[in-house]
Amino acid sequence: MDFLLPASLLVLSPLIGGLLEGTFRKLNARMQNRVGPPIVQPFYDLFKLLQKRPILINNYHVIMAYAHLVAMVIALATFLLGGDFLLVIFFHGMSLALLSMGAYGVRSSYSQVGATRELLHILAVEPVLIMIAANLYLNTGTFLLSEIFNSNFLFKSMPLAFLALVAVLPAKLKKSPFDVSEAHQEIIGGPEIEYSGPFYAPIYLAKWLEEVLSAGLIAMFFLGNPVITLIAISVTFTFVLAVDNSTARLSYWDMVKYTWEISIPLVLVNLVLNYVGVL
Amino acid sequence: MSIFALSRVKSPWILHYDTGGCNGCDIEILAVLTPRYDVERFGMINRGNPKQADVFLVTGPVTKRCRERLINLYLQVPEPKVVVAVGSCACDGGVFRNMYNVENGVDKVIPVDVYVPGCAARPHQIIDGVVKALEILSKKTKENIELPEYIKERFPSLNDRRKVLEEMRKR
Amino acid sequence: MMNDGAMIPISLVLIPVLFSLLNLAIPSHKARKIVTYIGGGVIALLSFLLWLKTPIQVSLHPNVNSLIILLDYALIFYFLKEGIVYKHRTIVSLTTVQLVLLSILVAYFHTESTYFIVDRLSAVMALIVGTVGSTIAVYSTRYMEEGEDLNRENRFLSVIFLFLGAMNALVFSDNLEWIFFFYECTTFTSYYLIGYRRDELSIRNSLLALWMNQIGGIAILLSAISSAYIHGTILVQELIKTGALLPISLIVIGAMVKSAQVPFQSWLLGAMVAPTPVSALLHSSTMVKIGPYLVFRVSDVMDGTTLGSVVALAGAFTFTSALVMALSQIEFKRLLAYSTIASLGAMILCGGIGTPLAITAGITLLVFHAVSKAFLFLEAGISEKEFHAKTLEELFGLITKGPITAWMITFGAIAMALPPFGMFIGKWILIQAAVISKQYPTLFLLVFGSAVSVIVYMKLIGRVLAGRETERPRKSESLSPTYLITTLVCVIAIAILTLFYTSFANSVIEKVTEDIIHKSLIESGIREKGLGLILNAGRIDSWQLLLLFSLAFALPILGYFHTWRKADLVYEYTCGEPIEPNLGAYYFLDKLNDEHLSRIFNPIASVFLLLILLMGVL
Repeated sequence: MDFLLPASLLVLSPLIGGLLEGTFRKLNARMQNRVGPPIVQPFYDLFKLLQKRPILINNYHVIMAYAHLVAMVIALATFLLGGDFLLVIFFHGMSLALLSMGAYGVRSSYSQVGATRELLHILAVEPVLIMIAANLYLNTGTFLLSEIFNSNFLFKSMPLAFLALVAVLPAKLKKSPFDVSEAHQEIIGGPEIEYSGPFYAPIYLAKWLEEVLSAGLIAMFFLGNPVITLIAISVTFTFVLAVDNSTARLSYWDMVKYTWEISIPLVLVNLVLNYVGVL
Repeated sequence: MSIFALSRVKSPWILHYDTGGCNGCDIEILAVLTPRYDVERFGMINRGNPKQADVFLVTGPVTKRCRERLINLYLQVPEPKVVVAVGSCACDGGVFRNMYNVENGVDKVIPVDVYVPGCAARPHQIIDGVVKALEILSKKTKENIELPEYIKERFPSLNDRRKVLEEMRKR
Repeated sequence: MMNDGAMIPISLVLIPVLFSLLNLAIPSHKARKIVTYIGGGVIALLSFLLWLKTPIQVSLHPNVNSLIILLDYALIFYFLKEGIVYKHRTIVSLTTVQLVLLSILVAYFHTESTYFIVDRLSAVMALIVGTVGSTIAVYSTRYMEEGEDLNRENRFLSVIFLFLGAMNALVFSDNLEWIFFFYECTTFTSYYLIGYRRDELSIRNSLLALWMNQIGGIAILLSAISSAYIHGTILVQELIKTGALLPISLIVIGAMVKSAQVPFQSWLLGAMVAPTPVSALLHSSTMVKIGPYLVFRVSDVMDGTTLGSVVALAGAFTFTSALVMALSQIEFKRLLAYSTIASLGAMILCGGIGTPLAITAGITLLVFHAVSKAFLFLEAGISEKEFHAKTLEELFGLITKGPITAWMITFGAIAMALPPFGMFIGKWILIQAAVISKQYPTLFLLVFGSAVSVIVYMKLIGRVLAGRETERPRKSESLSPTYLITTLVCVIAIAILTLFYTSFANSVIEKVTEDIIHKSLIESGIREKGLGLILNAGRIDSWQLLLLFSLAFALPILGYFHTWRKADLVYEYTCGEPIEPNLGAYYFLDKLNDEHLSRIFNPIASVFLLLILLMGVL
């Protein structure tokens, strides 16, 4: 019974991810006073991509797209099946590294710049998540998600760590002001530019899975009551989208500096407060 | 309609290229993407990248310099694809017809599916034209590749996309 | 202590010396090649035998002690002569200080015990020296055939074998005086081999390496004197039992000099002008591992003390600062050198924390780093000789000229940065250990460094693998069999050690850890489950390891062999223009230039050194 819920979540995760992505686009549109695409639009996109004629530059570049998807699936599976939280963070970083490896594999200026920026995303996101994991260990005594999922409303003792997570979510989900790797107006698509058709589909799918993973990370702080969990996820994502619509893109250096000047001190203060016993 | 044909119609991604016009039609195309006319409700996104596009919106009367770049971009768009010529310049030369430096319209260089006349073409007409193009797109498959006539004349022996691109790079 | 393996440590010291003399005497290159092959094989076999027979204690003839002191003075006078010849005031003054200190030590605190003690830590170090060292010696016979003077090659090979013997003797010694002598022996071999090419740059860098390593020697001498004066012994095992902190902090400082930690990193970077087998052997897999070896030796005493935390913080600072400075490197070998310094900092960090989990992580990092980094340096040597590519700019698009080398470099870089390989697992266990021991400042630096290491290696892979299907070569480059065999041995070693990491951990790493911490490991809670590992607070499952392992191997194999026949080939998007973009990599030179950064990092690191000394005194 314990295994059934996570396994079914894992199998349904493309579905959930697609609906999540569609909801994002619809919300985005409504915030801009437009009608926007239907919620099932990502599925139309995916099927359209699958039936395009395959064109490629070199084989290795294309294989890395599939490797990126496989690594993201492994990260999501580790998360849902209750593995080690540190491993989830590292596997997620690895899938971004694989995508940037693929993007480096073609001699296209946009792709190369995008790949470097993608690596800087890892630099901005991973340290904060590991410090949050350290904070989790202080509060629950373990890194194993199967036991963390049994905890109740972690937000009460780790509010600042949750704020740090929310601060880092734009960099993770590639939304303004930290969508430096996909800077459409600057480098057109970043690392994804040379992918097309059935070779772009795995990257598109991996983006959905990443959103499911982010939803899971948010849910981790609000376990205990399913209604509260869902409300927390919705509110956080709406906030991220609102920030996306109202800010402009910052440079990659600002992204790294911002994480280091805001998110990490937040987690450190939370750590100190937990250590001292105040929270 | 199979799921693939349905999604082809429901999710057309745009590539927009101006071949030397006055930018009037380009501004109207940009207006089509704004909240007032909101073409994203049809699932259209401007990806800016030919490898991820289905609908190729071309404006301008194809100056002689833009000819090869237009073909280059056309060949990089994977099938199935449709080409929409927006504005009178793209249809047959428009204001610049018969000048020394233009080709008098997009269909002299690449095969066009839908012509949207107007100077500048209004956003409603552009949306109309794209929706018509979607109907044509639903009947195409990834197998029917059409090399432009222009290319068939210049390089009669080459039938491969890559070889054509390579030849063009040598100039 | 068992004594039936008594001949093995002695032979592991004397046989390399024998082969060194043989190589010196033989004039023909082909004969030297055969001698090296045989010597390498014998040494590797003996080191395996040693592992099987530990622990061993061998008592040696008391005259050996006098011989070593004699040779020690001879070495110091040789260094003095070199300092006078090159008019290097620093070397002359440091050598004089060493002379004075050694004489004080010999006169007042002489000891009669002459043992070789081999416990599992020494055995695993001897194993690394024997296997990796032999592979590199074999590789260097082929390397020296191109563009180097074959008439002087006899000295090169003989000094390499001499180094193998000295390294083995160092890990077997228990006496601080002997450790000083063999430490200075390795300094001598490093000095000779860095200056081997005898051009001005090499000589300058060899003198730099010499005086910096002499500072480490002085630290070891001071440690011996203080240990004898305060506690009456210069034997390391007894020193550990007394729990004295000052001699141990001095040993740590000596270790940090040998491992080129910040602020001593310039000698290792300068050492990269040496021939690549030297960089692979001395300056990445064996000689610089003396630092972590010494720190692991004394880590039991540092467990839980402030000294341990400061050492851990110093190690973490080196880890991060070296990787940040690696981001701006254009030369391939300098990038690998900075990465080596960083990994050594991580190992010293593990020794500083000192808990069983941290030591397990440290030994994992030690073993895997030795093999992976040696492999990367071997590949650097191949690209230097076969493709004349020394910088990352020249390595661009190597996949069109030499796909085998390109994929090997990719595999080496993946083995250093990504799951499921040993460096990643060591890093994972280390982060767990740092969190559990509540070393938060260290953790803060460690997580930054680990993210930067991914960037450094991905950038390297990216330069090498940028290519086009249309330019795939008709057949791959032909590499000489020596190159192929030595690099394939490394690949297979990395693969097997990674896949069977858990049983390797159980049979090798945990036994080493037990010897270091003198406790059984059942209480630290590291258990195996199938192919995975269960720790007290974390877990890695077999399915994750298997999936990642297949992914890591499927990538190069599929990338090299698989083709999509039905896909069209196109070119990259250059906005329709038929141009060939000229692509460089991102070196962050405006923000992360390593000369500016080292001016900031060196003083901070010196503060850490002073703190270490202070913690020892208090």
